Amino acid sequence: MTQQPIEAGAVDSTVTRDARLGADGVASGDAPMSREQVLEAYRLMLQSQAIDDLAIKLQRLKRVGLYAPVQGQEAAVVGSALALDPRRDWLVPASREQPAMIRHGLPLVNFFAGYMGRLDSAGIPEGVKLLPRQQAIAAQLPHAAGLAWAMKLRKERAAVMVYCGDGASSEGDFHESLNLAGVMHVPLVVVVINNQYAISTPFHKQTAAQSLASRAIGYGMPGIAVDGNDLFAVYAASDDAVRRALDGGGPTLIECRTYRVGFHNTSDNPNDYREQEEVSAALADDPTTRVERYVLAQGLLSPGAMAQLKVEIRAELDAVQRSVADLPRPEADFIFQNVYDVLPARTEQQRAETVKEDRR
Amino acid sequence: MSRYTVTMPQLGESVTEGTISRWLVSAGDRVAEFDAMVEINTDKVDAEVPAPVTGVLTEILAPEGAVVPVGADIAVMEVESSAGVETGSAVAVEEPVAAMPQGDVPDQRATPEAVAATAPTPASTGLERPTPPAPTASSPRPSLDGDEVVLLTPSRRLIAERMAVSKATIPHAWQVQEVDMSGVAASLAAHRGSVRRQHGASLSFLAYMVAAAAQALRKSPEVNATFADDRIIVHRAINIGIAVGLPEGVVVPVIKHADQLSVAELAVALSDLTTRARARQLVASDVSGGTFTVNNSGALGTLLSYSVIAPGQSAVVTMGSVVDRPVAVDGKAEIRPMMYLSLSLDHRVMDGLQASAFLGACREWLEGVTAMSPVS
Repeated sequence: MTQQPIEAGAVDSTVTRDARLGADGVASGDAPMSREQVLEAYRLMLQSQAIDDLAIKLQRLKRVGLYAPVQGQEAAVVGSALALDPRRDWLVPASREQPAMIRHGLPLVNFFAGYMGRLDSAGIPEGVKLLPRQQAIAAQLPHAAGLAWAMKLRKERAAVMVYCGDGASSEGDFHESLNLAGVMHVPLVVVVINNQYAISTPFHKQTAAQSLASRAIGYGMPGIAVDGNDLFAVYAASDDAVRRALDGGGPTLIECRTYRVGFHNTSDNPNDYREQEEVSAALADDPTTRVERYVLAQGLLSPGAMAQLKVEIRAELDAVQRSVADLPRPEADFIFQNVYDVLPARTEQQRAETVKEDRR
Repeated sequence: MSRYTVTMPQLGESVTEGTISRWLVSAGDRVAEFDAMVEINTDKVDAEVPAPVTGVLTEILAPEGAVVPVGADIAVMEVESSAGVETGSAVAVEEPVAAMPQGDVPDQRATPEAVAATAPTPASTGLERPTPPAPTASSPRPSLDGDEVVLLTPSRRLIAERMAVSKATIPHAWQVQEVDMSGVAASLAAHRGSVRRQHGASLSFLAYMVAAAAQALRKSPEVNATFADDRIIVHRAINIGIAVGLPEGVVVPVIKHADQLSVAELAVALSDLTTRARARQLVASDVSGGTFTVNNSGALGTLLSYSVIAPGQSAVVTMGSVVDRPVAVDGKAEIRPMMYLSLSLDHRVMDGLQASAFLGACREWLEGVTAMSPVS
């Protein structure tokens, strides 16, 4: 999984910088991130691992409904999200970008409240430029294209970053959104997390194309494929794309090639459709371990401080999930809130019936 | 110290049961909340289920290899009250539950965890893998003047789903035998008063029937079984569910280890469970773990009924009404209290041979009762 600029006339090969963080934790080229940024990324990646671990346990105890772990994709998600300024830019997640949502400003309490059924505590706070997690495949892409178009129409200097998976790239919404983004030349960064599986469909059955980044040619935007397990490569490509978007350079498609180490979600058994050997191979190139090696080698953290950090992260998450468990559960009519300003008569009748049914 | 019952979690959408693959701790072990405790396999996922609380595992109720319905008890823990446990979870398991359609799946609203599971979280919309709607037999009919639309209550919906699943997945077959209840009637008349005085319970045909079924299941263990795709799990425990009709829907409390109880003890258990069912005071453990069901539709005058098998079980026996009928005895017509005894069976698990043997064993046990037979 090396950085592969797409060779085609329409693809701007200048989008890539030579920035790498190899499996041995050794950087090459120009390090694109500051010390502080590397430490922020490392903390987010560790926190993502701890959230996966805790949320899966809570799901097994039925305290969380359904959970899709990030495991294996931490560098792709964190490296891209860190290229955004949360005060300025918008983030539009799919369903597996937990650390990006938290980094962009979603409080941990709201984050866990969503997974634990405390829906009226799970909203995105006013001022956080984040759309809700989208479970429906590719459905977030039209929203993101529209949002980016709105930024352009309003002349706001802001980029919109949207995530989707390899499976989403085969959906109609993907084509319509990227085509519109290209035509309107909007400030959109499309990050395709190619984790090799759309639930159980492997990449070679998803598309006959060698690369998803090559689709950018058809939309008239730059496309770049990066090693999605390389924090520096992902960050450099994303940073370039965000800068271009802010400078009126239009949209970019980034394909992060990675591997979904965990199951698709807690209702999935990947042993049914893939071999353990390929999972083992992916585990041997864990993106967080790369960063950890770099952090230690550069002396950004001592081994003791690193151990302490991991303890602190877990303690914070445990305290948050306990406080969320104590939150009230939503009333039945919560489902009717936050959709209409004024409920239509028919929907109001449904709401009244729901409340009546709930009180029985 | 307080007692905490660990139940089979629902490990995925539409998952109804799990197989205990391996216990990672033994009875007597101390475990911390979230420590891996048991490996469970389901048709969707294989998972390590962590300990729900910190405490000592005192008893394993579901051994390795057991197929356990979602919500059924699998282990008991002792929890130190000072261990920082959310008492809400421990207490909630003991809350009264609403009506259950069948004995082996408690209403999932009984546990706080289940509420999170059923709440419409964005994550659980299931959009990526939609669950197909239950097949409907007919399209909605056009509305007529005076129609009333009755929304499904949660218990009605659960019954509907489980009945549809049973009929859609279990190839039902049906057999009937006729039982001479003279001996049981004589025993009932002889012991009714003493059982009421000594145990405060009313002796009934149903108590004898449960005893007969429990003893017959010992002889025909293949009837006390669960069909699980590629194998049949024969249960050693004989836990008999008793269908109790309530206006909002049938509930099926379970008499655990019914084969180890005398007729009088069964009468006591039946009185307790039916009284609490009618008072809506059953708790989750009362309605879980059933391996077989007895249905007494005869109590309301029905002669024969073709009952639907509870998903996860292999058969249900139904008592018809005990009615005086002329029968041939030693070449002469006599009037005897007769009962039709019918068995709905899962034809994947057993054939007519085993079903007839089971019904025959029930009949022989019931016809072998006399006024002199001990009931205590």
